[in-house]
Amino acid sequence: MIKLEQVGYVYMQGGPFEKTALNNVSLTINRGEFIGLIGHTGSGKSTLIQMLNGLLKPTSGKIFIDGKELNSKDTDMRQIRFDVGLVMQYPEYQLFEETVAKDIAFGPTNMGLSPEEIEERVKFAANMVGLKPALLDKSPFDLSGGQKRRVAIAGVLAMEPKVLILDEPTAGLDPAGRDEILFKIKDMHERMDMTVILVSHSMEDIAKLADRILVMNQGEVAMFDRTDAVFRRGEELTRMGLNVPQITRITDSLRKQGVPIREGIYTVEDALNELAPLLRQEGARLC
Amino acid sequence: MLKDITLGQYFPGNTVVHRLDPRAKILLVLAYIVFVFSIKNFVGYALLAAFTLACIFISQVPIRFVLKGLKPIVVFIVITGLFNLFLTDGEPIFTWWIFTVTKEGVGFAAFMILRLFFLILGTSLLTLTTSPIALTDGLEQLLSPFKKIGLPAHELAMMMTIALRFIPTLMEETDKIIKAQSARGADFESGNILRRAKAMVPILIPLFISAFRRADELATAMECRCYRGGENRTRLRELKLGKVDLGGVLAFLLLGIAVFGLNFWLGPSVGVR
Ligand SMILES: Nc1ncnc2c1ncn2[C@@H]1O[C@H](COP(=O)(O)OP(=O)(O)OP(=O)(O)O)[C@@H](O)[C@H]1O
Ligand SMILES: [Mg+2]
Repeated sequence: MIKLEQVGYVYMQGGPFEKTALNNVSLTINRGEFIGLIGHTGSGKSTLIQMLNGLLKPTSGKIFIDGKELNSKDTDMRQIRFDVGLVMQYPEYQLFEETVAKDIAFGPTNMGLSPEEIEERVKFAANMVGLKPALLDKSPFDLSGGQKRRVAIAGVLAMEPKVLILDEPTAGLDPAGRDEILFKIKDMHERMDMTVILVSHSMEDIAKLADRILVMNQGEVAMFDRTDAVFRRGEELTRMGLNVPQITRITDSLRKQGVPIREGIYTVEDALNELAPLLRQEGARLC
Repeated sequence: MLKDITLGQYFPGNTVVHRLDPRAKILLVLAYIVFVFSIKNFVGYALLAAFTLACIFISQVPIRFVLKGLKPIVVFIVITGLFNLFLTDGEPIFTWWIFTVTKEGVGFAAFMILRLFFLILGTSLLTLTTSPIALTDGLEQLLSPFKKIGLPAHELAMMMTIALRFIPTLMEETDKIIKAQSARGADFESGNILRRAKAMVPILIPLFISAFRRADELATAMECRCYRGGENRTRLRELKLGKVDLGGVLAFLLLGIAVFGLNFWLGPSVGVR
């Protein structure tokens, strides 16, 4: 369980370029939840998630992971890093090893696991992100941008963290690769009861995956609610520079034109289930 | 970890001190350094202190930022002071074990400390109130007469500008890499020197790779825009001397007259060479 109490963060505190990135954030995320984190550029998403594994220390307020207070003296921060796996935004630059396999093994090696266990995990993680075994012995610098991204994500997955945080993991990937990775993460989330926090600018992805959505606006929590409840507040989201999934926009405008279709539809499957019977009736009348 | 390094410590503002032409400012700071080293009595330093304080006050830079520049060299100042205190010959005040403190030693140590102190203060004020770009611009123009004897002034300034431009970028990058590796449990703080050096590898390799990539990209971008240095380039911001600069020069002229006048009237204080 992750708990934040009135957390704030100020970059370069006391300097001439002081910048408040987060203000008074309080929230609780339960074990095994899938959270979608959205917000306009510069709303503080990356800042927020970097505090969850202690990379940034809050300048005010407190953070608890499973009841342990972060950055306090009796908390082993290294253990927290293994428990809370963070894939940073554009993580390709973190690669440094001679081979892809060694790079993925960096996290597990730091955990002090046995060589067999490490090998096992490297294979598992590489498979999760769709890296072919043949690539494992190549240099990570010879890969394409998308492949590098996958290696970087695998490097965190291999640590099998209890909480997995991904900062726009699919930005710049092709659509098929994007769906593949997100689907695998959802699968891992379900099978291993892993808590996942996914930062994304794709409302469609968030709608498909998240149980709850956290909306950040100008460094503050604007909404934190179930997915359908958040996407029902389309106008507010638009004002924050965000949007609802395309399909929601379509069903909303259909409803405005008098089609009897319920509110809170945000996936294509939902829309299909709603619209198919209507179309059949409509068709019957037409014939 | 990287927060304490304040390269490019420019403190933006729009005061008279900020608006001085960078060329004038560089020359005035040079004059200031000459003054610092020519003053021969304490009254002169009192005057210089008053002048410096006035400049800091006008520039509206908080005093703690100016003093921050002193932090890295405090140890150096103290050691210099101690050396001069104990190792100067002259009229002894007291002796302890093998150390003898002389009247001249006290005077000379105080002078050395004051000189270093004002040297750092003056140059700090220059870098605090002049943006790095303006500084290199000024330097380029000041050095351009030496082009005749083959000094590549423009290229030097360009290199400096690029280096300055990339310091914050590389620091940011280092910060990001450190974070990404710490997130995978990298440990930079424990173990002996060898282990710590090895722990730097996951930071240095990505950093070098990205630095080379950036250099390459920048070179390509410059070539795409047909950059060629040196001859016949005009500039976006022409440097012009104005009333402010005249005022600055006059103020320094008065200071200089006062400093040398005091030297002449009062003569050197004890211990000064
Ligand atoms: N290293 C830094 N130094 C100073 N200010 C920063 C730094 N990193 C972020 N900020 C500022 O903090 C605010 C929040 O930034 P953050 O990176 O958390 O935004 P974000 O929501 O992740 O945006 P994006 O969607 O673009 O990734 C921004 O206004 C940004 O300018
Ligand atoms: Mg971000």
